[in-house]
Amino acid sequence: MSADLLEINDLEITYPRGFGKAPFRAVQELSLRVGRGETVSIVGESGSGKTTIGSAILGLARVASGSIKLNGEEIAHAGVRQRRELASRLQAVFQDPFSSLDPSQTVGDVVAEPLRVAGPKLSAAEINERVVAMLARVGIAQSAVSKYPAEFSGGQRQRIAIARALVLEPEIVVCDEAVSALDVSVQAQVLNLLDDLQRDVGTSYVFISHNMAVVRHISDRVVVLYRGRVMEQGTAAEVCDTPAHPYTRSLLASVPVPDVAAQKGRREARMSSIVASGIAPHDGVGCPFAPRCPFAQQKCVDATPPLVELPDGRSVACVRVGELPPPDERSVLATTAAVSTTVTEKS
Amino acid sequence: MTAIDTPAVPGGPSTDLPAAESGGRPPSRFRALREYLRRPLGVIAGAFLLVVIVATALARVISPYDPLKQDLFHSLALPSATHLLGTDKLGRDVLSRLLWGGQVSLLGLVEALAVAFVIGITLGLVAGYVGRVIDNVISRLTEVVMAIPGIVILLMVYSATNNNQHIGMIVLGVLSAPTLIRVTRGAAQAVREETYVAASRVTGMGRILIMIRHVLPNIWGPIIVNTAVLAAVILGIQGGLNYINLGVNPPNPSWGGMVSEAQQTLSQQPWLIIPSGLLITLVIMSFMLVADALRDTSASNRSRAGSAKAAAQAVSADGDDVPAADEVLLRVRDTSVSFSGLEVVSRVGFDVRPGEALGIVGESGCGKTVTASAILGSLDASAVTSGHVIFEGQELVNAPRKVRAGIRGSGIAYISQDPMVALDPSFSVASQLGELVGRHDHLRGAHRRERVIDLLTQVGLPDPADVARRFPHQLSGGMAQRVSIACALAGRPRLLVADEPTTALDVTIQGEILGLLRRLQQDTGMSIVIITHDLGVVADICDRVVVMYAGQVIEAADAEELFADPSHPYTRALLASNPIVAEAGTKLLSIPGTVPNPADWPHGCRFADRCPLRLDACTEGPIRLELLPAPPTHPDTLDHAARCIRAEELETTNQLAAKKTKEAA
Repeated sequence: MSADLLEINDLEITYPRGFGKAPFRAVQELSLRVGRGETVSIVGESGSGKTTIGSAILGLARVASGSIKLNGEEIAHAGVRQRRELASRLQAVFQDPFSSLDPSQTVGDVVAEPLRVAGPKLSAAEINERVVAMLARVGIAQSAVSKYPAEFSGGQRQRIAIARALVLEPEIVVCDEAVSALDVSVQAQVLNLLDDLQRDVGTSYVFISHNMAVVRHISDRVVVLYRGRVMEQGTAAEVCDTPAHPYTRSLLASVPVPDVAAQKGRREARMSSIVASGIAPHDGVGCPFAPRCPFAQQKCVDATPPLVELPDGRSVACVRVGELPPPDERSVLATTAAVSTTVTEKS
Repeated sequence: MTAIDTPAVPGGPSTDLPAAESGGRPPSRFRALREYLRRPLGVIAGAFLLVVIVATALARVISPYDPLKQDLFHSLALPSATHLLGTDKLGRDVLSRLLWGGQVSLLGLVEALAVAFVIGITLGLVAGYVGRVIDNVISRLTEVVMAIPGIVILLMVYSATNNNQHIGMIVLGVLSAPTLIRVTRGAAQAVREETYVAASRVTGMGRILIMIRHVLPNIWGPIIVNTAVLAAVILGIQGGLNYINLGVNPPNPSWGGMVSEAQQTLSQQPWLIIPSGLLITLVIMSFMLVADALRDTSASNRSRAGSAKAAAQAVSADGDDVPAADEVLLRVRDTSVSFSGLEVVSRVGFDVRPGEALGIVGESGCGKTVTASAILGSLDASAVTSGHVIFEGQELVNAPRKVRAGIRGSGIAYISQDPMVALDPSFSVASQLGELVGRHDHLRGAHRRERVIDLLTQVGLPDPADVARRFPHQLSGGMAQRVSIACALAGRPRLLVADEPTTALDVTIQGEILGLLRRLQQDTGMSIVIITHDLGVVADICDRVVVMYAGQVIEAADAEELFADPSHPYTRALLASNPIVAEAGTKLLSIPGTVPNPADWPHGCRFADRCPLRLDACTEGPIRLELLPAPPTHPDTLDHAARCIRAEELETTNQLAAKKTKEAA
């Protein structure tokens, strides 16, 4: 048994592309550790393979090679029976609060389902008691149990989905874009809720998102993905405040901040962070970001850059990492705008 | 459904949200029934079928004569008091024969339908949900059955089984099953992709259980509709079979057989064909009408239009005068929009000057998209718009279609969140853009093509000639949005309305599109109204900002001023709940509750329920949008207005920053 709760080694996930074509490699050479009570974010743009990784952990995508271990137990190819046993330790919250709840079930049945399918043997009254308690914990009144999901707003539905995921008190929850569909004020409620529940229960989160600001706020560690490969991984502060990989830098510089003056500088930083370099990987060999990288050289595509650990503990897949200038100060997310927003009256 | 009684909540934290917006709405099952009862044709057809079925079932009790009893003295009689529907060639009572014949016909229908139903749902569900090899096998089998000439098989079955109606009907059921298999399969495939199915798989729920608990309940709609259609078809086929005396042995009555008998004496007594012929027609028609009504019901159930209860219209008497400048491209004043008496946008007002970028910002349900649609005149017919939308001096509210058409594209253009909506998947970029160029510039041939390439170059596409040849599905999201911007630019508009133009795009692409919009604005001098929920986007591109909450403008200011000195508690909360501004490891400031529904808008301040600074005065009456005095730090600041009676008490950023520095020191 290792100290890590979730341990992914050399994961590769492929999708068939039909006869005569090599399968599409959605995720390659991915290794990842998640400790107890830790939040590890997987961040990337569309097509980066971040959702595929989540699906593989949950058994919703077929794993081509590599291993996924939960508490040392191999789960990459778990069948229905093993999944049922896993359900009390591994759960999920999905993006779309409108499709993640069965419209024909009452909220009570939605939250009770994991208990009925995978939970300990409980009487109907005990199940109901735990459902009501769980709903109360996510801020949903007990009158909700006999109502249908259609009667709730997006934020409330996401709370119900979180209640379903946490009712078995799992050790780890995969949150796949769990707050992306929500309005910013509601998003804040849900992020705070996830944080509270983590403090209470000690749940670990694998937090999959495209939103750097959210990731920076909620994560202990961050994995930056591009075209199925890890570009950089490290603590949230390292990755978000002193990004080492050119891709991470461009990703951070692209986030617009609500501050006109700061945004003006960030805009310039963003424009210099992505270029058309004319250097491209071929036959699947080379850095996938090279075509857009301002620092790309021929050596970037001669071989695929390996993920190398730096002295400060983070890992970066860039052959030029030692030669790069420090990141543009304007592009990092550390900001002082916080003071402008406090909702207080004059003292 | 599990009956859930309600014990006390065992010591959880207090709930900070009301459980649901409206209490006591009935469960969806009864709603479907109620929805059905609102359709007169469906109700009449359903009632008719019910009467026919009950009467047939009670044939033994209510039929006035023995259906086989001949009375040669009264053959071919017209309807009379003794024989309500007349008699046939052998003097048998037509009504009695219809009732008894209905037993044969309807029993046969039930047999065939039951077989088709069981086979159709089971195989369809398995094919659709399990997929892969099993789906392939079932689908091919289905096609084979559909390719077999059914009537030939039926003829063979009847001759082989000595005219056995039951076996014939079961075979007819098997032959009819493919329709239901296909419908069920398609519906199940769609549900399989739903996230709640994934959630149950994560829980370790088996396939069969998922099919029963999650897939089936959500696909009943199309299945029932198609079963009703199938019932009509089967009844028609069965009538035809009976007509050639298959499945029934005369003199026993059947509906189809009676038509056949009536036809033999058509020249002597034309009336005789009416009762049986009309009954078959009416029953088939009723099944179809029931199917139609069911289809409408399930469709309206899906869309779940909220109850449109008349709102207490809290329109204030004040003028809401947003200060105006001399030179204004678009002036929106007192614009309200209601749907079936329910106001969703209340007296909104703002100006857009030439070359200016105005942001309309707010959360979902605040009325920003409806406001944009009111500017564009693209609201649907049920919307009632009042107030003024004046573009270049021309009133657009309730303007004749001709005026609108003159402005659309060349005066005001539009891009949406999903660029694919603007592009027709079956035409190449060149032909779609070319059509617009042709309409606006009346160019043809090489000139038209030149302008198309110009436009594509203008939106920063690196290889415009290549993009022009492509079809929409061959474009990435960012490229598609650039093409849709090129389409919007084709008429050289003076105003571009962009509704969440970057929300669906990756963040690095979002930056590029915002950069493009800014450059186009500088190059062409056009104005932009950008609808967004992202204050970062506002900071990036907007000169002026209008913040909307619950259908009202609650704050308006120059962008810099808004971020430096947000003067409405909602604006501040919106900024504070953004994780960008929070220090890592601290709680995000969140606004408790949600944006109220239009039906629940309070008379006073609409944000009061969620506001930490609420006073009694806030809820007493409508709050005006008032101009704020220019702060000493920005004496030249124009036009900062907020709808808050405590706006001037809120500290400015600079004051807060100064205080923080002092505390630190």
